Amino acid sequence: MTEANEKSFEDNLNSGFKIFSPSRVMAIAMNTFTQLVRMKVFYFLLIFSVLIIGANVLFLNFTFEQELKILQDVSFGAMTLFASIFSIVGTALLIPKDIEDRTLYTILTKPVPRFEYLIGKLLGILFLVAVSLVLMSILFFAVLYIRQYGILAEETNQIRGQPTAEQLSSLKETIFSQGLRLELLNGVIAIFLKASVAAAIALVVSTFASSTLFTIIVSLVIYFIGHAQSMALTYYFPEGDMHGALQRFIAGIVAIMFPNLQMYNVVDGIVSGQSVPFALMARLTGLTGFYLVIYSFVSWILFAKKEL
Amino acid sequence: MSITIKSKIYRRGGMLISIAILIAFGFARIPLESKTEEHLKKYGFRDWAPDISAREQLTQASFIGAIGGFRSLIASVYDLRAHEAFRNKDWASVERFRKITTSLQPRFAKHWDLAAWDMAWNAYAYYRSRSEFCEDDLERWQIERIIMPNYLEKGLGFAKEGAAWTPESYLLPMVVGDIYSQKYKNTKLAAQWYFKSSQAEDAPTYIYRAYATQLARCEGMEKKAYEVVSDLYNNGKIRTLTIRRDMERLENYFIDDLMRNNSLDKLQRMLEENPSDYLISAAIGQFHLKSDSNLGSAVEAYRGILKNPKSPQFYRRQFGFLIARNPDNQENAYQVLKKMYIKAPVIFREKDVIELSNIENHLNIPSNERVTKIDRYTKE
Repeated sequence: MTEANEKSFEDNLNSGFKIFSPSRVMAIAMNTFTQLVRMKVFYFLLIFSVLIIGANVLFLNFTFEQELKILQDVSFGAMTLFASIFSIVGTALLIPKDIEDRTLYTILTKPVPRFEYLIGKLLGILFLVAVSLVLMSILFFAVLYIRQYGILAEETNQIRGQPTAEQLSSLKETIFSQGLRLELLNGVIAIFLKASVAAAIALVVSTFASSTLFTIIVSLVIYFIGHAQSMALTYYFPEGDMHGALQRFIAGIVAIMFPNLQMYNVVDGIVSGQSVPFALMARLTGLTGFYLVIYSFVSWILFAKKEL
Repeated sequence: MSITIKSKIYRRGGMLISIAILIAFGFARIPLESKTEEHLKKYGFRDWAPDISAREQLTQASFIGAIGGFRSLIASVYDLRAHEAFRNKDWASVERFRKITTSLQPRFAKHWDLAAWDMAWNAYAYYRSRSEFCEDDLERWQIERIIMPNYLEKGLGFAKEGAAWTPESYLLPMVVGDIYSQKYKNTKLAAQWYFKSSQAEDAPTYIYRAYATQLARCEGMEKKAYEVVSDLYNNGKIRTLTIRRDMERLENYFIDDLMRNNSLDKLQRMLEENPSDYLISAAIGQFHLKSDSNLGSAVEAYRGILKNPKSPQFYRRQFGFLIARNPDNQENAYQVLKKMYIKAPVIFREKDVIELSNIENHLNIPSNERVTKIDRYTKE
């Protein structure tokens, strides 16, 4: 083959190649999702069902406010736990598993840039977390919906004589204000956003980690420090009293290097009856996007230079 | 060899670039996060600080759980523990656990409500019952003078702190009102707190009625109470028995006041000036009854009241009893009063039932035809 022929052959090859292709990313993402589903992760739904039905049945002799709150606490708690575990463990498993199965080499020998591979993997995980959260939310909302009507019937029966329309509407308003409401969706979204950041952290760690276990442990430590980061931020920007220089320096390092996951803890307030304004949710979403972009970029830098 | 070194430098360079990016990102996001924290504070999502005092209150696992996003769940766990301690009558633990639940989730009004209820009602009632069965005088004195007031104070403290945390809710100010009215019998403070509670957006209508009831019992505030009660009586959706009674009591107060401070001539002049003021007519009627025992004039004055469309229903009952004072009209008056009693016995006060029973005695109504059926009221 002459030099001219070789060049034209390369040009032909590159003519259809795009530097970034959403369809390639989606193909990897869907493949990742399928790969994780085949790991039978959705069996967790059984545990979740048992948890919320248990929370619904066990606390019947409490006030209805307590009953509804416990149901919401248990459900949101389980959702946070499952979403965080999925995002950290799922991400930690992906790259080592692809190396072990040799899938990674098959993908990277094709014209797939490494950052597309990473973004695809991350999206696959986020898709799994989103689907699992949707399924958990459906179960949770269904149980809450049934329970609030059950409570309404019980409370109506306790009224002596025929309840008046005013009594009924007041009772309904009181019960429903603590039952199924649109505000709960913001709680689910906040859980998803936090899990997304956790997945991005695990992705960064997995690009330089030597083992899956290392990735999980380091990601969990960062996840935990991330929840205490707001305390570090308070130290870094003290209100009134000044802390020592060393304390401020350490707090500054923590605040700069670790994500602030405490920001996403709006569920406690939502269960108490507070509402999250749209501006705040938009701000949280924007910050999550910022985290995802930067962490994906860092992952790519590390992964691009990784010898496979 | 040189390839290996180059490769190591290449990889470490990647790590250094990554750290540099993370640091730069850190500096860029801190102002954004601080702003978000401010928003969270503004909207009430930073009502719990994971500080030293919180760490001392909670177990290590609970503290980690609380900062890890499970604060509400941990609060519920302590709520269950408080319930368990309540069942064991371990009031010190109940107080401790209630303090934890309220500090973990201070914006959840029910936590404060339950804490106040456990202290001011449950613990208080437990010690009251203990003092009743206590044979040791010193111990009884301690329970009644120290322990019981102490739990009452604690309950009140929880309710007041909760009211400060949840200004948008009617619940805690109502609980404070309940404690002042039912435990301290302080009608003035109870009225103040019920009024505060009634102003909340979610307040049920009965709280304003509770405010009116307490206000009606406040000495020296009769004028204000009358404004509130008469408004509820005339314009309220529900005219409860308490409102009727308060209205009657307050009107009697003003009638007595008019009678005490004015002569009959002056009252009559006042009536000429304000013919629609039925209270003046009632004062004239009472004047005739009490000062000159002129039943006929009193009846005339009361007839004037009944003609007034603004006059409350209870004047009909009073008029019935007034007519019954004349032995010639007693039979007719009894028939009218009997109808009223059968239709709505609750509007008859205890002293009215006694009076009705006396009329039945006087008319020798056979026991099977009597409407009062209450022997203890009958007087020979």
